[in-house]
Amino acid sequence: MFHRPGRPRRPLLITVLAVSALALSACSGSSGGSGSGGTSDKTDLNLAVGVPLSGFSPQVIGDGYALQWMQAAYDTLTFAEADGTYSPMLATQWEYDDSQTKLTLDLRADVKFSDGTALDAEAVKKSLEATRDSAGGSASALAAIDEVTALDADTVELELKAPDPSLIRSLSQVAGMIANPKSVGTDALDAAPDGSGPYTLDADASVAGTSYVLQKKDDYWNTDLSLPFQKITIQSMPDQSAVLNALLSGQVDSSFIVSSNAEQATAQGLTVTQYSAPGAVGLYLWDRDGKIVPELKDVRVRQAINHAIDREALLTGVRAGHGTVTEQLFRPDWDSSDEALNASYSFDPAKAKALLKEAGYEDGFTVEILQNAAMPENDLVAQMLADVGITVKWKPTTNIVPDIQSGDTGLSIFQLASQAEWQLVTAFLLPNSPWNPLKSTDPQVEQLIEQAQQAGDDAARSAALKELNTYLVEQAWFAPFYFLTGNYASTNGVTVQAPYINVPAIYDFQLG
Amino acid sequence: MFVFLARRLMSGFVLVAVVGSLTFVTMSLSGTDPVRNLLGENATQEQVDARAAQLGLDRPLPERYLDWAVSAVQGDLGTSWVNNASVSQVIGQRLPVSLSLVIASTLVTALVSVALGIAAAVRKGFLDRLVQVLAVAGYALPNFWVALVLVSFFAISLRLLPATGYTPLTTDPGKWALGLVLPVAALAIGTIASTTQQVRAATVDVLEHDFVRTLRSRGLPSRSIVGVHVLRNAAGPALTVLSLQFVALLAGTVVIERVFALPGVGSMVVSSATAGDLPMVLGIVTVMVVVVVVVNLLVDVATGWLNPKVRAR
Repeated sequence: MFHRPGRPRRPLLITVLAVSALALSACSGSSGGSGSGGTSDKTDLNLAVGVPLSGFSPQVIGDGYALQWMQAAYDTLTFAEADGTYSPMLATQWEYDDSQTKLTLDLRADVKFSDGTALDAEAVKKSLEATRDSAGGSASALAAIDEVTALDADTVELELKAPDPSLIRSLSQVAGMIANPKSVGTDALDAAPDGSGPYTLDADASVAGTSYVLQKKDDYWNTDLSLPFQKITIQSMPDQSAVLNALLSGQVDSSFIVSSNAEQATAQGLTVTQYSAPGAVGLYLWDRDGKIVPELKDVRVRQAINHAIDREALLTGVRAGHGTVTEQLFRPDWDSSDEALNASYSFDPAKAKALLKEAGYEDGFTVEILQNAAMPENDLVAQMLADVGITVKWKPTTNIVPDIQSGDTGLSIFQLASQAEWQLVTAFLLPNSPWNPLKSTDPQVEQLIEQAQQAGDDAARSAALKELNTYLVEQAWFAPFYFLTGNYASTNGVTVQAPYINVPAIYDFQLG
Repeated sequence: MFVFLARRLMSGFVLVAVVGSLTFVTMSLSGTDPVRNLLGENATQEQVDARAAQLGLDRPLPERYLDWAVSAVQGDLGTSWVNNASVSQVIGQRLPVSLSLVIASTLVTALVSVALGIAAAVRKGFLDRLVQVLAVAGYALPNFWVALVLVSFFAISLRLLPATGYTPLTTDPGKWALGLVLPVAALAIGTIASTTQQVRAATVDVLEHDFVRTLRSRGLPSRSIVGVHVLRNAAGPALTVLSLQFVALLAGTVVIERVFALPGVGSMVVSSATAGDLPMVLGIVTVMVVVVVVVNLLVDVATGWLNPKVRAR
């Protein structure tokens, strides 16, 4: 009795199914069309980033994925070309004086902010000073600037405390972005940009913390730039499987993907562009003066650690081979890097033991390492060190960065990015560098840095830096393992240029 | 009924206050320096101190708590430490996403599990065994895995449904519903499994009561016995389970919102906690507790309406 009335309902159910199938196929048809069809009518770009959308203030944002939405909204003083050279952007030309401590920039006279305010020397002065004095991620890039002077409406002079070989590069990044002086220093930039860039924020279409929708300006001054997209949507997707699914289903046009997803992405028809990630994974030996781990003061102990690591085995074991082994921190594409140095520390446990014996640690020693949960290398590295007599005692931490920087650990398994040679020097090698937590010094290192800083031309600087790199490898200041391979996927006819650093510029996305 | 409601309301207030205070205290005493966390590795100590003073972190903890609690009661949950956004505004924008997800999942759970549970209890035999096996399997499957399988089939292979994202109901009700199908399916599968078991057990229990036999002997059609009398008696336990499931679903949004990249409060609470954004975490937790209290209150009222014995207590 109970089930019998079910029968006459069947035709209705079938009708419902048929209707919904029609409706569904209709919408799948349209999305399929935009996915595979002609690229010429595509006018929007959908990007996914793994970081939270942290606003539009150059005084807050550092390097990284924020660069993409910042570049859409702001112009930089200089423009970084893909080949590592710099072209004019807001600055038409620039020149250093002989002492390399005074940089004069000529500005374009015709650039205005949305409200009509002129982007002039005073605006540049206000932005640069605010960024330099901020607590944001780009402040350190401008730390060398002592004073900014507006010589006239379209000329500024930057007076430096000391030569900064990476300043021209910094001015092509967030540090060189100029915001409307009326908004600089206010909270307004956390919600919406106020720049002279090619796009404006469509606040109504954006969702705070989740997506930024940017609409192209009709009257953008820089017509030399190829900007094929009328609308750019940037979504925050912290979950990598969501990113891959969004790419595969065509909802997102391009995004960084993790190496473990790269094969599947290629197999399912996405274009995957590979690049070398900027920072080496390795054992960073902070305590070269032996303040916490006395054994590390002996260069033979540091060299023994380098010999104890089987880099190839690590790379295949925990990173599925996605990378290039290295024994130097300097990137292979820098002039100061030297392929020959990568033959300095072959995997040789016997030699490591011999070095330890020479140094007086025949019975080995115990060392405490902060356990960086993000690194899959931990266990294998501990095993490799144990094999030569160095016992690792793990110390758990939830705040690896402050714990390292406060200087209470002698060595860490870590990955630190350096975007350029000089940035590596200022971040790692100077006595007051943020990543020299135990303030190690060495007269030879200091002298080579000084030589590079005062160098008259690029060739001389490269030579000095190469010598510095060689010395650091010989002295085993670090025990780098490898540079990981990064993967950038794209679909729907969007192409992306392999990024020099880990983030492609917004200009690097093109059609077809 | 009035006393009953008043009591429930009171305990609700106490619950909100206790959870709010606990969150505040545990996050404030977690031992990490929140300002250092916010400003990043390159900030100087002076900048850290200045920001701490600006955020009022140099004041004693009880004073800060009292300030927060007084404004919170007035509906002002403060501003985010990370991006200065108004916490109430952010929650106002994101709560509809999570509630869409949770309410739809609860409704689907209620409909499917009542249908399956009663069918299994009444029909017995093969159907009963099948439902029970499926229920165990459904309960054992992790929801993020279910989500990935559903997406790869329905969104990527067939391209029938969107793989990620959310369309507000007011923008396009059709897209809103389509976008919710996969997340709701992934989220509800576990709760359907366990609720079906409960409904089945409660129905079997009621079916064995003497009054059912009496009704049958009087010649009432089976449909009306099950549909009216058994369902009404089995509804009490089922409602209680459902209200517990609502809380479980709310917690489940944390994972599901990430996998489907939905801009809800569940994904927000994770990223805010990682960033050390105390006002945002506090605000979300408090609002979530209020939602749970309100839902429990509604369930209590419904149970009281179904079963007069509960009201007397």
